[in-house]
Amino acid sequence: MQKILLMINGTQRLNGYLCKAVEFVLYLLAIALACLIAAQGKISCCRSSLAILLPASLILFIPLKEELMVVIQKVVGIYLVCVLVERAATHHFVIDISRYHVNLSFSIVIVAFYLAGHLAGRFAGRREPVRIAENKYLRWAWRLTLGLIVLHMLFLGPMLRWFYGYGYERNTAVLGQIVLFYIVFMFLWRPLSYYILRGGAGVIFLIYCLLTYFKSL
Amino acid sequence: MTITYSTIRDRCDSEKSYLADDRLTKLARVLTAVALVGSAFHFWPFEDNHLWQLLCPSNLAVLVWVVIYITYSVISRKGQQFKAHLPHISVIAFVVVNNLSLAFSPDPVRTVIFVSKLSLMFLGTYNLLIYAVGDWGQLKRIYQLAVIAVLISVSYSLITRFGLGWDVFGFHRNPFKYGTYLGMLVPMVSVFIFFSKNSANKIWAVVLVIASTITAGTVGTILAIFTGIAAAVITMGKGFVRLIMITSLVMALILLALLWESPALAALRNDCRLREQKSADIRQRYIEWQAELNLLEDRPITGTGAGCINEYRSEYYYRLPKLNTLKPFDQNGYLAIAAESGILGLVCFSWVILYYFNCAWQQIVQIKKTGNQDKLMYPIANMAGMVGACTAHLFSSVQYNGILLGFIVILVLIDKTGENLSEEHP
Repeated sequence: MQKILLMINGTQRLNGYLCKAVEFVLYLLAIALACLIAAQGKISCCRSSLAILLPASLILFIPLKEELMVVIQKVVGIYLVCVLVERAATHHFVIDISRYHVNLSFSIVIVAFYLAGHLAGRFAGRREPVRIAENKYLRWAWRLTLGLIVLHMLFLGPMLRWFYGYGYERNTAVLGQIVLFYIVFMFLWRPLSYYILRGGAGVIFLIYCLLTYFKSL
Repeated sequence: MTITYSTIRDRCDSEKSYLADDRLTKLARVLTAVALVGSAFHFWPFEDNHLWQLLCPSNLAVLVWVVIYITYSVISRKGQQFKAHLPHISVIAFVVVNNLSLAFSPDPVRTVIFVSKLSLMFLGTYNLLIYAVGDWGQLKRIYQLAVIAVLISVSYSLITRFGLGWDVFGFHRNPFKYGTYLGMLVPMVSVFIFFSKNSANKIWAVVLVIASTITAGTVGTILAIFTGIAAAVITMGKGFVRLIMITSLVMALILLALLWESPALAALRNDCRLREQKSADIRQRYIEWQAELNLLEDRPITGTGAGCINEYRSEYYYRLPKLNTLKPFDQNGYLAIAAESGILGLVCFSWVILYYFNCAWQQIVQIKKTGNQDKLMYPIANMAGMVGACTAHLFSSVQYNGILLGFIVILVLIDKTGENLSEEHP
């Protein structure tokens, strides 16, 4: 009986490791895909950008364990991923569904990878190597940001409509952008606590920066 | 007990280290006084000199401190202490995002200057104030210094605008900068004085609220002062002090109504309008807000780079008219942060607000639970300052050079109040 229990326990642990590995592979694939799509664009990586982006990528390599430093690395990681998603969001592809042509942004594909990674991570359990007490504040900070933008829109929309009848058309797109980056944040903030993911992302960013820089020469 | 040479040397070393620490603390207090009182003078008397804007007394005091502190930490090998004098992670994250936005700036030199000032002020000023403030007595001295700074600013504005008829707003000159400075500090210091046991001080607090209200040149200043004190009224519970606070607000409103047509209030009257003065157009300020939202749709993460909003501003009006009537520093701080350092910049700033706001609130709750009413004035004054700063940030930005110091003072006071309270009731 004890042997069977040990075997079950071992299998569960193996499954957990496998799920975790799948999760990380999917996240890194998503980052690599975002890099590939972003590299297709015309925006090049100039010298001044490189002076910031290269050290930022290198910071992710440093194996730090202290909470403050890990949070800084996570902020840098999230920022770099969001920059890539922003650039990938400008590229679109078309899907033909019967008579309709659906124009979709590539950011959806990247988010789909993150979603898959997130689901794999749920099977593996939700333990973090460094527990960060500030996660709840950050989630509320996103909500406050959304609330602030919405309040400004609620004030400006009727006023501009009253004066000009136009001028507030981009508002829903702005809300869509905030929601998109909130989703990216929600999927990535916890996994970025793992050094292996931060380091992997750092390598991908480094290659992306150097490639786009040499492409621009 | 045998006393060896090494024991004597160790004792001498520790005594020397104690003396050095003590001297450093004294220096920190002097520099804090220079920085805080100097902030009232802003860039006076060389407003147009860029070097002076960078090295005005309050900035210079912080810079001197940073140099001395780093040198001392390196020489005495006390680098570990630095961590204890750092602000909360949220503030560091905000500074990091602003630094990263440099990568996408169209004018890297401008962004480097802006980000250097921001980093120096956030990390350096925070470090200086944390080092200077210790127990309740020293905490009280910071409020007293803030009172002096506010009194200088308000009394100069009263004399020049009502006495001499000049169209300047304190030493800040600009109504928006002056408004943000007062909007942050007046609620905090007036609430602090309202709690004083001396009746004459309470009357001075009423006078301060009224004087700062009538010298205001923007709607943001009035709103910041009123919401800040209103927050104190709501959180403090019933009592005589609450009645005086409400009375001061009512008196300020009455005097404002009586003086409404006065030429000294022309700027305020103009700022309260929704339309432009000479045309049927909406005020350029609100068009600017919409332009910043439009920019956010196009550059949600990269933004324009910290301090570079002016480079892109005109591209995002789209069909809305560009009237060129926007006054300097008439900015919405929240939208400006989002437009400059992207959504992540605004998220980090929201994180800063939420964290410190929650700290102030928890301190009020803790004091009410323990019944330590003598200390209630500290968290309530901090809460009033924080609410005032958040409101003032809607009509100008707390991030401007020379203004940021006031915001950091509020953050440090919240931090230190919490620390002192936890020492009393662990």
